[in-house]
Amino acid sequence: MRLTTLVAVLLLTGLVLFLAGWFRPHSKPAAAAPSPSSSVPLEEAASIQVAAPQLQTVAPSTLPPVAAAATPDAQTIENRIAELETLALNDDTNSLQLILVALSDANPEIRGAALESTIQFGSPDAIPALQSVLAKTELAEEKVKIQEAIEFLKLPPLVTTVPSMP
Amino acid sequence: MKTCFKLCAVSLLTFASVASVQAAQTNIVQTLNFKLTVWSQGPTTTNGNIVTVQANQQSIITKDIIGWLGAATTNNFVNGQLLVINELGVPAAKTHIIVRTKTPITKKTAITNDVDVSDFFASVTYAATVNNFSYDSANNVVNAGTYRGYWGFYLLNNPGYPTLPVTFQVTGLGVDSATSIVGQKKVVYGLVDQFSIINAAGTGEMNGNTFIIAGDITIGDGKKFSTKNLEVTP
Repeated sequence: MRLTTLVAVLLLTGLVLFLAGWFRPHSKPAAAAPSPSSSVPLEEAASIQVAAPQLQTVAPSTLPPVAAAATPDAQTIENRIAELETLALNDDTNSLQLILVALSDANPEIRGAALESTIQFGSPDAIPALQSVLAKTELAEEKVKIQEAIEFLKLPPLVTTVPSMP
Repeated sequence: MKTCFKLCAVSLLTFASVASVQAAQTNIVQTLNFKLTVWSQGPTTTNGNIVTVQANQQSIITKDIIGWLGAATTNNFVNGQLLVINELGVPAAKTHIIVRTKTPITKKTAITNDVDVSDFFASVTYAATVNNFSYDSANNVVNAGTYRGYWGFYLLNNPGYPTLPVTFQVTGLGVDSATSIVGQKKVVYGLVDQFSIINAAGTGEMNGNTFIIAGDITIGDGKKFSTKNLEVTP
């Protein structure tokens, strides 16, 4: 008797769930985006008033990985800066190369941290890479800072030998 | 009797947990960076009628200072980091300068060793700071602000340790940017100071020879303060 009741309840539940799914309104297909290649004469194009697109705020976590990487969030930037600071403590070529790559980062905070890490790494081997970045940089303020870093790294250290410790 | 025992045990556990919470101390940890240029008198050479007097121009970065401190304290500070630690939310909070080294054990774990080198440094405020901040008298909260002052910063010999190969003192316009640390429920825990003296100038000594020195000393390196700068010590 109890088993029969249980089976009946289960069947009823299944039926209710099925009906709920069937009557759920289906989402409408997205409106077709205007084709970017649609041809409009230049004279007409100049007079067309285009409404400003409605920008939607999208959380970084909902973006595909590539798009998320293009606009790093605050946490990612902090992590990158912390990594650069740690790399600056080392003396090996690999660490320097990793720092120098970050000089061309899209994010100005990371570029700034990379430049500071290059200075604190303290190797004149960084000068050619800095000169290359200097030639490509268009921002006047960054140009000045890179040039100052180059001049600073040209200087020999004050004391080249420190007694070795056990 | 059993109930009494249980109550006692619960009370003890509660007391222990409260005691451990009270003992925990939150510190603000920030990097201390040096980027200095030194000018000292170089050799004088004579070539016929031409007498050439040369100036030596050399650099000091944070790594150099860490190396000198390592030699003076007989520590191996390779890959060490110079950090400023401020105690948070403590009356008469102290500031410590430490060298932190990390020795990796596995890929993800490392032994951290902190050596207090505070006594090798000193700072002086030569004039009252000129301040720019706001204060909420109702809630007793100081909002973010900037304090400008005429500061002095010293790298000194520490009695009881071998002398440093280099000592110096610089002065300059220092900017102390204070940012509130706001926790959950918008409670302000304290202020984070990010201090910098840009284009500081002064004098120093290396093995008995004096030099002039100029450059930048920064705490926090002008970067945005983050929770990474907070450390809880037991």
